[in-house]
Amino acid sequence: MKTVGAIVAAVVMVVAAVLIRADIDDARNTDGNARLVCATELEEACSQLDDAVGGLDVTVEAAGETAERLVALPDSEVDDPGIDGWLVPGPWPQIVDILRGQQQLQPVFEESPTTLARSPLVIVMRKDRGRVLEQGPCAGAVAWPCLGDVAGDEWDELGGEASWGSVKVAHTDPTTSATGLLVLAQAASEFFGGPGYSRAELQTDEFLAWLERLEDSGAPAASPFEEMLSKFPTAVYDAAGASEAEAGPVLAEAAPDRRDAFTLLYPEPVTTADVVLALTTSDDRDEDIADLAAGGRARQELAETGWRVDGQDLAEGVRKRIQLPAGTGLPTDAGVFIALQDSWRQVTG
Amino acid sequence: MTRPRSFAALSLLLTLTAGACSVSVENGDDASDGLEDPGDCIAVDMAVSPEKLDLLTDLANTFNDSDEAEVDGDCIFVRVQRKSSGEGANLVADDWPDPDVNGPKPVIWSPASSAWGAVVNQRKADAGEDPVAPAGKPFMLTPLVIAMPEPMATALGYPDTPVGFADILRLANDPAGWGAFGHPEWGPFRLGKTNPNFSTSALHATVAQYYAAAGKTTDLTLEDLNRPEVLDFARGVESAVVHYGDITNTFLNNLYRADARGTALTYVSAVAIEEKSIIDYNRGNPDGILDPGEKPKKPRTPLVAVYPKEGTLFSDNPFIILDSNWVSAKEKEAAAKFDAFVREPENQKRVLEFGFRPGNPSVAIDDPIHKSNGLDPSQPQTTLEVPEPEVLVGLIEKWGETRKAARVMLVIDVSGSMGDPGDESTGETKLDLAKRAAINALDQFKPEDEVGLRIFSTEISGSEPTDYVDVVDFGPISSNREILASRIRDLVPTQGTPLYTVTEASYRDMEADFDPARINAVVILSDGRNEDDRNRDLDGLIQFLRGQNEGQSSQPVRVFPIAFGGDADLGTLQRIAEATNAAAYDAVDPTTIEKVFIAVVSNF
Repeated sequence: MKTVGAIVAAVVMVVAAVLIRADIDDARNTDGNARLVCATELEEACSQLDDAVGGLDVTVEAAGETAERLVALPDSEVDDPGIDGWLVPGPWPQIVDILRGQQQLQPVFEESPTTLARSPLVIVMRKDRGRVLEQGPCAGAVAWPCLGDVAGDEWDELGGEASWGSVKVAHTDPTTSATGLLVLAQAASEFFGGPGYSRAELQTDEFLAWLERLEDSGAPAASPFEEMLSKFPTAVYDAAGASEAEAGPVLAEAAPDRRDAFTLLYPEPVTTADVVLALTTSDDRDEDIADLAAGGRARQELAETGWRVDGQDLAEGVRKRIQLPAGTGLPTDAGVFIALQDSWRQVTG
Repeated sequence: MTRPRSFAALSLLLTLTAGACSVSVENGDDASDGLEDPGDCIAVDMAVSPEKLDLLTDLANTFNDSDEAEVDGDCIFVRVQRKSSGEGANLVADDWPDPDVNGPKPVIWSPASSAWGAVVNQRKADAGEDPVAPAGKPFMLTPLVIAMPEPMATALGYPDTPVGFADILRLANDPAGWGAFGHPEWGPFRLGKTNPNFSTSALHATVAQYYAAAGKTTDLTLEDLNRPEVLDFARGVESAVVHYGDITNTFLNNLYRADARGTALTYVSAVAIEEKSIIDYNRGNPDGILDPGEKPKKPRTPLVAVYPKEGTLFSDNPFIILDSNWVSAKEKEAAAKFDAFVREPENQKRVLEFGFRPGNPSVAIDDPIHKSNGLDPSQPQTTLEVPEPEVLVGLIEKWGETRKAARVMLVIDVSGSMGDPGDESTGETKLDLAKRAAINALDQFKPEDEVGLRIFSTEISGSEPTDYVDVVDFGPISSNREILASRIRDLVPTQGTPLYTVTEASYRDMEADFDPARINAVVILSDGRNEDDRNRDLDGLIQFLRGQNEGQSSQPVRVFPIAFGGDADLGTLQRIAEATNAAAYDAVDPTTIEKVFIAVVSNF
């Protein structure tokens, strides 16, 4: 009886192995196309790229979803992680490899991904609310430290109107959204007076209390900036963090009443979201993906959708006079971003 | 291009509750018949909430004929079917069973509010399954408002003085009613509000009401819901409710008819509805649907929108491209093309024609969102945060406890024709179906509701009154439920249908014991025409019912008839309902009776 059982078990295992392998093969690139995954923030550029470039399979998804999948990838599949390149604001590829390293897993990305485009991080602000803050609690330019301090306060207590309710500040979820994480890093950098803060400082009571206050004022949204615009004149949020590439062109195209009601603030020092094309270490990586990085088409599509690319015209809604720093102006250690995500999870429960 | 499941975007508009997913019939069948054959094109089936059926059908036709309807050389054919938000949520969550009955499985689902997408994902999560409804961008928007006849709003200080739920509470609690504002002739304050288990606007209104009670605009908590002053506030507002129901059109149609008779101000003082419904009403099209040949006539007294000073919520009509297993990558790509098409400024201007605000911010809010239509494009100023899932569950449960209690007489036809076949596939008679539906519907009442059972048929009793028998006396459903179910189970078909006699008698009996703290109503289920030679006076009956229902001092009993089976006299039953400012329900297909009975009981 035991023998029969063992045979049945063996057959089941073999069939299961065959089926699993078939699934893996199905997921692989069988038509010779290069497989590009784009972060949600780059959907428009990637859609245009998909239409313009042959031999490319484009998938759009939130950075956190791609990261989650790649972090969980066993070493046995690193030779074909399912994608050839990841177009995403940094430092998400480094985050993936750090998290893999913590599990003693091999990296999936080549080092030093190519930066294709940049965009300053901005605060989208209702002008009337911004004026109240400038003249009152922020005493000058509105920036993240001040927004965190007043978040949740009643507007009428700050010199605004009672009908505005409380001060509501939002950004996208930093555990899934590439921009959301960068905005959070920008806010933390301003809180600490620069990007050189340590992971330990992100656990101080002072920072956590400030962050909690900020996060409690407005729940994370899929696209707070678009929600602010589409639900105008109501103020779903009074201020929202975003990249200029996301907010500038949309605001420039908005109906006059909305265009007049909102402004983009560029907190000093300027910090940036830098779009990188990270190539995987896949054995059979399609070389077209490398061509994509070197060629101009991806840069062109990014520039047309609001990103700043050397040698390309600026799209409508992208300000000419903003000087970008040499680096991002954000922490250079991707591990700090992971620690930021942890702090954020801690205060938002 | 493919777009795999997105787990990212659910953060704000999280789930409502399984209870909020009950089935709504919305006084009509879902329109899934007559869908065109897509031929060799990629079929993109859409399930959309009723208010945007006409617009999206029109846009789909334009798209299908355009050069944009193409993916990789294959043509795209978009087909639109109507599906109420609650029912759509149920079907998507259940992987859209039985397409022959429910219509084709959709690629795009567009409920009235993003919250319904979160409902589905929550239910999937509860079942240990992946989410299927990623966040969709708003196609068009409309805020929840408190619609009031203009003279009444003016009496409250409109448009200069902000008005909100707190003012409604004050009015509802004031024994002088409108007399406190110099208009005793308008009687007490009466609120029209649908059932949040069925209706998006009711759900939003209930959320707004609880926020107002808690004095918050964000972060409503379970603790808030249990605060005594919050519960008192909720009870106070609910005490002013005329009756509930599954759709707001019931109130608007009744108000429109009352307006034609010059009695609008004594039917209802305010209705919680979406802004776009005010435009329809003021155009003379209260239900938003113009039948062929119907010429809208503006009401004598227009409605105006009061944007609750405490804040409100939007219906955002998202396009949700489903991540369900029946949707292919190519269909998703085709769906995304149509999504982009409807967002083009030229097409977004069309949503204004239908009274909605454009979802694309590049299109300005314009006519008819205008003061001349009783609206204010500079409002609302404050949007409320959709509460967390467990809070919404709690909120719906609290509504069940704090809603106005009811006193309802169930009147069931047991004439001989009720023994006719009702469902050929099971061999059940119409009476079998009706009994099961009635018994199931008993669970929808709250424990304090008082329910009695009367049956009718000619000469059912050997002594006067001979046409009806009270088989269960009124009592709280908490103690009456089992006996009601038992008696309903025992019913057998007998003779003819004395419809007029039993209707008038039931009304008189309810009126005699009228309880002003409750919704007083008769639910009358009938499968045939009046078959009583002794009483053929329909006009007299209608005149009597209308006379009893009008005037500020009336004690209105609402009669909700159910036209059951193909021989039911729906026209007459509608007249009876309208005379009492209620609604008739159509169960001409006997197998729909369970859905219909639940919808009827949603009025209480």
